[in-house]
This record gives sequence, C-alpha cells and structure tokens, in this order.
Amino acid sequence: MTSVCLLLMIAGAGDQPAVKLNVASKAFTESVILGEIVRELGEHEGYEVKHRQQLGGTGLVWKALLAGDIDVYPDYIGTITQMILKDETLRDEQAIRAALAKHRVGMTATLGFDNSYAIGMKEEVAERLAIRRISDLRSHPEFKFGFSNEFVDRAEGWPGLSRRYQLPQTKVRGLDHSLAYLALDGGDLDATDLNTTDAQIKMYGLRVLEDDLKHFPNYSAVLLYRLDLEQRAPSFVAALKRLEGHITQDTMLALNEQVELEDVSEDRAAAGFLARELSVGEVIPEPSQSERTAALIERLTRHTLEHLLLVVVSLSAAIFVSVPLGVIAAKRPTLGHGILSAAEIIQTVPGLALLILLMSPVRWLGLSVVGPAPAIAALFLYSLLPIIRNTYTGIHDIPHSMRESATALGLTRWAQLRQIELPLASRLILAGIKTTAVINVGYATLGGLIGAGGYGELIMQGLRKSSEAKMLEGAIPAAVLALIVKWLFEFSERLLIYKGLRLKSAG
Amino acid sequence: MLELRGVSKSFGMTQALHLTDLVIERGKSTALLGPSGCGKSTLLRVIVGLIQSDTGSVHFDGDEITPHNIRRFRHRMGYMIQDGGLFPHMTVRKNITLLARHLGWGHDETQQRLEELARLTHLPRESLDRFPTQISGGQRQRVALMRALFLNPDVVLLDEPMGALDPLIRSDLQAELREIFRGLNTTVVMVTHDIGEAGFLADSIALFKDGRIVQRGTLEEMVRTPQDPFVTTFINAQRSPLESLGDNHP
Repeated sequence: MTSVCLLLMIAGAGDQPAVKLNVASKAFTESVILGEIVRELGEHEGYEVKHRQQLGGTGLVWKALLAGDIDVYPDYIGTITQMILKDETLRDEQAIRAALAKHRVGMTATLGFDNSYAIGMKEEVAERLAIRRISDLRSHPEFKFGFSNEFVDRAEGWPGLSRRYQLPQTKVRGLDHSLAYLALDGGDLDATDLNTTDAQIKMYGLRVLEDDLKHFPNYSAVLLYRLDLEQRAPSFVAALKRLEGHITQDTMLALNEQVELEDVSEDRAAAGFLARELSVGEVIPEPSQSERTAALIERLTRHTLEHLLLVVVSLSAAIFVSVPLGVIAAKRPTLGHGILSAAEIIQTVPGLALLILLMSPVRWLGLSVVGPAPAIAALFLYSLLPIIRNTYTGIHDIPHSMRESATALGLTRWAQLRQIELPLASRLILAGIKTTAVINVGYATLGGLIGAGGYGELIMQGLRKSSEAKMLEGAIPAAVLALIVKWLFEFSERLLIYKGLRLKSAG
Repeated sequence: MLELRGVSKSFGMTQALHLTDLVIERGKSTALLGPSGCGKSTLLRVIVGLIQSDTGSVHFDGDEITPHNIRRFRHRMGYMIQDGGLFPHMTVRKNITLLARHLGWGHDETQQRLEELARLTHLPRESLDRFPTQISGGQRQRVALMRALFLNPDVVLLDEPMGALDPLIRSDLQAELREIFRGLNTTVVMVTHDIGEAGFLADSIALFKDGRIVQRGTLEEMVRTPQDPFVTTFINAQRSPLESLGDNHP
C-alpha cells in the first residue's frame, strides 16, 4: 500500500516539460556545497535540477555520469588523472580535457581553489614530537595511521606516499574520513589524510604537515559534465563556466566552516555564495525555530517513506521468491541443498560490495543505479536466506503422520501443499519474514552509502558533519521503525496464524 | 475386493515383507495381526500406496493399482492411523469435510453427510467446531473415523486404530466400531497386535511373523488347528487378567 503511494508520488513528480538535470556530489561536505551551488545556479537559469547529495565515492559517481544518471558533479584534477583516467602523464588541462572527451565528458576550468591531500596530526602531539614535515614521520614507526578508504587505495595516496617518503609504519587502516577525524581527536590514531579545505582542520586543531618532497599532485576543483549538455542545456553549461575562478581557497574554506562548524545548511551556504560572488539569486535568511521544526518533520517524513520503500519492496519480492524456493528445497533434497548454499553465499557478501556488484545488473535492467534500485536488490538478496530457510524447516519438519494422512486421503499434491503443509509451516514462515523485516529496516540504512535515500542518508550526513545529533536523526527513527515493524508482525500473527496451531503451542 | 499378488518390500537390508499373496473379501473384515515389525503395517501401507512394493501388484475389484491411478482408488478407501492424523490447524468439522470440499461437494450435501456420521459415531455436536487438540483421544478417533468414512468408501483401512487409547475407552470404542462396521456392511482391513481386538472385530485373521503370513483363518481355527508353533505361542502370549490370580479362580 505504502509502496504504491510512493511509486505514484515518484511517477507524478516529473510531468513538466522543462529540461531536467541531475547534479551529484560525493560523500563529503565540500562536494555537497558545490553540488548545491550548481543546483541553485541551474534553477536560476530556469532548469529543473535535482541534486543527488553524497551519492558515493569517485568510482560510483563517475559511473553514474557515464551512464547518464547524472549530468554534472564536482571533482578534482588529481582525482581525475589518477583515479578516473589513470594516466599520470596528463599534465595540462587541455590534455585532460581531450582524454575526458573520449568518454563524452566535459570539464570546466578550475573553480579557483585547490583541495589537495595532506597529512595532519594533532597540533599538541606534533609540537611535542617536533614533527613539521611528512619526512619527520620516518622516525616514528610506532605511529598508527588511519586513512580514508579512497586514500588507502589511490596510487598517490598511502601506497605512493609511503614509497616516496620511505615511511616505516605498518599499522595502517582504512576508515571513513569523518571517523578518522574523531579517531585522531580521541588519540586512537596519530595521523590521517586531510583535504586542505577541510573545516575540521580548525575544528580539531590539527597541524598540516609540509609535503617537503612535493608528492601530492594538483587537486584543483573543477566540474565534470556530460558533453551532450552543450546541446540539451546550453545556457546551463554557460552558467557552469561562470563559476570558473570564482571560488577561492578562502571562500571554499569559509563555506565548509559555515556548514561544518556553524550548522548552516548546504543550500543556505550555497545561496549566500551565489548572491555575494555572482549576484545570482538571494541570500536565504536564517530559518526560524518553527521553520527548522517544519523542515525536520518534512525531512523525517520523506526519509521514512524512502526507507519504507526500500524495505517493503525488497521484502515483498523476497517473500514472493523465497517461499516457493523453500518449498522446493524441502521437496527436493539435492536441489534444496544447492538453493540453501546459494542463499548462504549471498549472505556472506559484505553490504557495500554487494551494492556495487549489483550496479551492473541494475543498469542492465534499465534502472537507474543511483536511485533505490541497487539497495532494494541488495536487501532482496539478503532477505532470501532467512525466509527460504524457515520455509524449508517448516515444511521439512511437518510430522510424517500428517503428510501420510494427507496423501492417503487422496488430496492432490498441490492441495496438500496449500491446505496442509503451508498452513502447518505458517508459524515458522512468518517468523522468518518477521526477522527479515526487522533486519531489513536496519540494513536499509546501507542505502545511504549509494544515494538510495532513507534513514541511511541522514546517518551519512551526520557522519560527514561529525554531528551526533544528525546521526541520531537517522538512527533513532530506524530503531523505532524496527520496533514498530516487529510489533506489527506480532500483532498480525494473531490474525495470520491458524487458531488451531496457536492452541497447540499454548497447551 | 482387494487382491495382493506376490507383494514384497524391503527397507535397506531388512526384508519387511516376503512374497505375499492375500485376498480380502468384500463385506468381510480382516485383521492383519502380529508382533511389531512383522510386516502387517507395511502391507497396509502398500495397499494405500504410501509405499511402493518391490515386487507384485495390488488389485482393486480386478483393476491393478498403479502410482498413476492411486489417487482415484484412495477416494474409495478410508484410511485411519493410530493417532488419527488429524490436522491441527483445522477444526474437527473442517478435518472431516476436507476431502468433500476438495472434490467440490455442495454445502447441503456435505452437512447432511456430517450429521449422519456424527450420529453413527456418537460424536457430540459441540465437538465439531473445536480443534483436534481440544477434544479427548477417544473423540479424536471418532473424528478420524468420520473423515475416513466420509465418501462412503468401499473399503476401510485401519492402522492400529486404538493403539493410543486407554483400556476402558478402547473397549467402548471396539464395541462401537463393531456395530458401525456391521451396520455399514463395509469391507474392513485393520492392523493390530492385539489378538482379542482382532477376534472381536474381524471375521478373519491373517497372522504375520517376520514378514510372512503364518496362518489365515478365524480365531477359532487358529486356536484349534494351528499351522505353525508360532500361532500357539502368539495366542498364549496374550495374558488373561485372571491368570495373575493364580489357581484360585473358579
């Protein structure tokens, strides 16, 4: 029911003839602010622009750009050459632009600031140990390093850095960028990777170590866009170019600080910038308490509906597939062994890996990889095992005498299944569905990693801004929803489970 | 009515049933008697098609029963097992009328048959809307019998129908069953290990030992002209309650 309403809402959302554009950002504040700037600029030009905030990491966003799920997103020269084009010989913008054009992607000139990688430590620790340059780290092999996952993987990240500086540290782990700051602050880590425009540098009082061997490449910010925009939305591309050179290092740092430290929303920070620097649009006034409350309610409602969409659609599909599979598994032992093993293998695939693996099949089905589809597919796959297993056990454990009675009566196999076996197994089947539903409510927060919406998005926002309040805004409703789902199932058991079976357990 | 020709069955290394021929006459009740593990239940289950025999064939009114046509014949057989085999999720009424509903009987016809059988088996009317777990063991067997009799089968097959009941109820139900079967004039095949029950309910007995029929006949014939020492041994093994009083009884 709910899912039908949601689908209608989604379907009804786009019946205007205007050119619709999609901008995306990566999962950190600066990217989200730049995305908001692009969105507001596009809307000012009369386009309908949707911003898929914190869609994911570079690989995911690039894929979405190539697939046409998004039209434009902000990135950095160094990232483009190292991670996307994987060609370190590309030195000047013309060469990069030519390489990108082969992918039908265009690039603006630099926006005016450089968000380079750097290595940071707590100021007082660095001061005490007299560490100023990255080279100084060489004499502290006991240091524990925690780097953002991208940094661990990238050639110019930890692999290149440790080779270049001959760094001896072995205790290196990958973790979320925001978590790394918290761990550094708590003393669990001695150093982490930074971006030179991060507001957290000031917030946590960090020392940025000098890159004395000039290891890190140029990380000037640019916008990447699909070249077909030049035909589809020429004035939009022109507007994007107006940003070139207009966002200075200080401007970007100030915008980041507004959002991260002063709790200004990204859209307000972006609007303020556009009004001040480009005389586009107006400054959005600070919201009143009642506006904040209204916004919170709107946000919670929207994310609740998104979350329910993920859970309800994946669970319904899983029930539809798993119950028959469970029955087959119970009836055909050899086939059943294969079915259960397959479901078990799926269960062992880590969440994020499964989400990424599902991108290709989802695309192949003609669905958008940046919407809820991959998350629904992943939740669906995770739901299979508990429902198949409980259906299997429920049918398998029916007493022999029941089965023989049904057979000897002369019921057809289908009637036996429908009238005797499924009802007798109903309690276990429903228990499997209930467990799955509750787990799915929790698991669906993974959708926040790939822009599927739901409570996960709120949790990711909280993580990105190191704001516990924000994180709880997603985590508490998720926990409450899980309880409600559990309660609903317990209530419906009274209606769905045959009275005769409940008597048996009571007696 | 029923004819078994050269039926045998083994489970793994155990020969549960050696080559066996058996003719069940129409309108007669036959007891398959013997100690546990003698093959009597196996034989009954071969007839209903719950297990496939290794050799031989079963004929119903001259037609051979095969896995393909077994379902048709099952509607002409009423089968009842020791604990009744009632479905716990259905009320007594639903249990009894399950097959009729499955075959698309009309409501009135079904209700009429239900009333008829309730009278026949003395099942209290209020039991009809209870669940199997809410009625007594004796009533459960009545319900199971009603379900077996619902389509007015040509033959009733009972596998230890009273094995799970306590002695007093058992004795009452035996008397009722005898009355019912005589009234209906149905063919009955029952499996039991109780020679008293066999003699009381059945017109003739087939005594089994280790997967073979040792003797076929009436109880009287078995007592008077045993064809194997085992017949006498089995009959004498059934202890009379008076025996334990010693020699003092009159």
